[in-house]
Amino acid sequence: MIVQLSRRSLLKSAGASTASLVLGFALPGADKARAATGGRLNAWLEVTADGKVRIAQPQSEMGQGIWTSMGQLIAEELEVDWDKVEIFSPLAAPDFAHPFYKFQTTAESLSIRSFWEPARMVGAQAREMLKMAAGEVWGVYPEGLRAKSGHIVNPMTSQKLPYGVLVAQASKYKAPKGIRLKLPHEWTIIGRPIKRADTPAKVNGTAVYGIDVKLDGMLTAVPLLAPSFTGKVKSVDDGEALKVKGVRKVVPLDDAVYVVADGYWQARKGVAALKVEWDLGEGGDFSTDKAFATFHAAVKEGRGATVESAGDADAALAGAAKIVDVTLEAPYLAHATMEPMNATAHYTQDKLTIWAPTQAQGLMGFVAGAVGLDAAKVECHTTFLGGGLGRRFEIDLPIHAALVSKAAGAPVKVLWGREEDTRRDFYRPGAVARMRAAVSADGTVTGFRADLAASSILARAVPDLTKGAVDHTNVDGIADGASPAGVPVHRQYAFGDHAKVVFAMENTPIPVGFWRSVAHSQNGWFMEAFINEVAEAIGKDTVELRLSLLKTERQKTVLRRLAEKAKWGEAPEGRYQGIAIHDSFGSIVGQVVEIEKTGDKTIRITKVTSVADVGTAVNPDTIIAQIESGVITGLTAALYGQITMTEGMVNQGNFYDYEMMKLADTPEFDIEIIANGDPIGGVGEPGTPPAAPALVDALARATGERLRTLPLAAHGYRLG
Amino acid sequence: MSISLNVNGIDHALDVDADTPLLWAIRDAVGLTGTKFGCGVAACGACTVHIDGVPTRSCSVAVSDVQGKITTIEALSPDASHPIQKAWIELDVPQCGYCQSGMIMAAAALIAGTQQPTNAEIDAAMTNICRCGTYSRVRAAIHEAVRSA
Repeated sequence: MIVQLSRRSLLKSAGASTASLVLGFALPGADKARAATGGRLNAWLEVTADGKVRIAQPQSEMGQGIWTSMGQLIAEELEVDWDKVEIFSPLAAPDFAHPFYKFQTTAESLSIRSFWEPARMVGAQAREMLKMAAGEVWGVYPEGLRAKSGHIVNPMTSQKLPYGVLVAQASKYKAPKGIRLKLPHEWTIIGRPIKRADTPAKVNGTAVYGIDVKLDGMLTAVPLLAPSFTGKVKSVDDGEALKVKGVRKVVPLDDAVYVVADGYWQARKGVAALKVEWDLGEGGDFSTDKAFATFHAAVKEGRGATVESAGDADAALAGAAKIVDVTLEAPYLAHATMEPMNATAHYTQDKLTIWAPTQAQGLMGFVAGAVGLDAAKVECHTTFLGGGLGRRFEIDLPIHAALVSKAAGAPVKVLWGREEDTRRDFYRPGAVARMRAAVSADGTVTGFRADLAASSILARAVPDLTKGAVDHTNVDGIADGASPAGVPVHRQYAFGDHAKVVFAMENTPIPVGFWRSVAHSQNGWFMEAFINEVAEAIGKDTVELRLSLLKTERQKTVLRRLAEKAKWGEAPEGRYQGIAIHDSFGSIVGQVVEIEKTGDKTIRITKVTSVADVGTAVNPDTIIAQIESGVITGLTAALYGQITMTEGMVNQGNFYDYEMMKLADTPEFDIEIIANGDPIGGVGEPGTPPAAPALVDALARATGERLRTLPLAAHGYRLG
Repeated sequence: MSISLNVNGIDHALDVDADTPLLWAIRDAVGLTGTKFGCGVAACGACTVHIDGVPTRSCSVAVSDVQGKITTIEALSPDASHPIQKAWIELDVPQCGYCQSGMIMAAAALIAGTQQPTNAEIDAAMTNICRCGTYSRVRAAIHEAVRSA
């Protein structure tokens, strides 16, 4: 229908439409079915000719379910039926820059939290642009139109047009501003336990992970890594390696030698035939024992940067009726994602293309730089991640892949085995904490001092954030206030007027990085283990003690509800309970772990009760799954997790010496989600911090031994 | 060296060394990537396939030792209609999903051999590692698959 000139002038003179309307939008044949040609609206959205809506999901899907829940945010506002939605992983692009970090990345349980409003706005703006297109067709103001089930409807005439007809036109408009988002009572998709959109591909072998990428002419490269973290290649004898069938090339890098072959097995055989001499560097004789000796010395001396100083904690301790003085350790931990580390790269003089299970799409400019290309010349495809846990934020694998591709003159998939994965990790920092509480005669905590010592992740990753020799990822969860670089840190407990936290940054050759729940993985353990010790030392119930110290009503509500739900204090005969609660990433998670003693040094974890206040829930089912997942990560680490290093070499290598919980070990779960409309909290990580302290608390009740270092296996305790 | 393998009903003549683990023959030579590599030492089960119906960790079987017909996740059913796959979808078992090909193959073999596995039988048979911790749903889905088979 040709829009009449008079209507056009009406629209113009009414001034109701924005200046960006493209006039003269005509569709042939008023009574013919309008051709739904489909089209791309913008980087986020595409409508297909047959009415499917393809929604980009730029965050890295590593099991947390954002593949689906991000789509829920957009689909809700876009007004499209979920069964018409198809989620896809887009090419990395500035359109997808993370609202908080300003570059595309997935970290710190900040996908749904940070995209909460922007993603819904993507859907809402699209909806309004589609209304504008329909308004053009019908010669009406778009404000009077409605969007419903993938159609724009004119309520006055009951005419409707599917998005597929309108999208090409809608894409020409500028995204309008000032749109009202739906209120919670209007939601039909957000808050519902929608089935995961990636499940079908994950049960029939079709889901593509980084390791599955296939390209014409692609070669596979497997490394011989330097034995120590500071090791460098001195000389390479590749004669035998090159004779192995299927081996094409040997590519020495700085700290590794890659064998490039037709496939993984041929490359692996080539690696076995390599002869490499190494310069081991300063890490060549380093050990985790040395690292911990340094950390212990630091906290004993009380040296380091003062992160928090309220009142006079030292005086409070000196004058206290009783001091509870506990020194705790947290070991180095490997990530051990199920999918071993890999990345695929195709280098050409004009362009670098990366396919990777990455958490750091926005950092690929650095990878381009590593092969002498401009940052703008890199294209990044994100696959599914077979686990991320923070390891895939590092770009070492993409850099290796780019370098090897350049040297080999072909697309190359760099693929590490489990041993390389375990031994060349960026580990959760090992740490020591000396925690002290000043307690008055009537059992009130009047002062608190924590001395922490560990290596800093950010000293390597983002040095600007380590002003004043404080890294917030070493102190968050224990210190209250902010790091000298201005990053807020918080503690859930108020210890009266006197509190002091000192942090000694002791960097070593052992590389450290982001592990699930980062600071809170060790500081949740330290804080909660300490509170349980204080309760025991002063003869107070740990729940009562926490209720007297927790700062917010929401925290106390979670704790009360947890105690009620887990029947705290009423463990069945032969069962023992332990408790912990931790506020991290905007969510508050409490856990009661119940165990039974099956032998002198064997236990069975029988049940985990958890209450999680996540503020607002987008997909309750994926939230429950993630809390369980966080618990399993935390319990596995508490039971078995320990990376040790002797004379520059990591001692662990595969699942036989870096053990994992199995199905037979899994407790019964009873999980309750609280979502009362408070600001939306993260879900991927908060389930992990309470697990270790709750388990150790239960073990203390069962055995009388209250552990101060992890894992349980190092003390001879095993599941059985 | 030419080795013949029957994979999902098709005979493949593969130019691979005799000591090539079946896993890599499947992934690289045949090109089926549904079967995953997790550890290479039969500790995790991500590489589980069926050989004449028997669940086998393919990373630790050399192609020259393979006797029988190999079934991978891609051919467990043509359309995700195997009771295990249906239960996995019903309960949204996978999180990252990387272990699930092996987990599903192990579970399918379990219920093929045991009509109504008890929890103890599930514990004993399902030793695959899942780093995401989907274990409670794996157990529930196996029970569900048996119920609705």
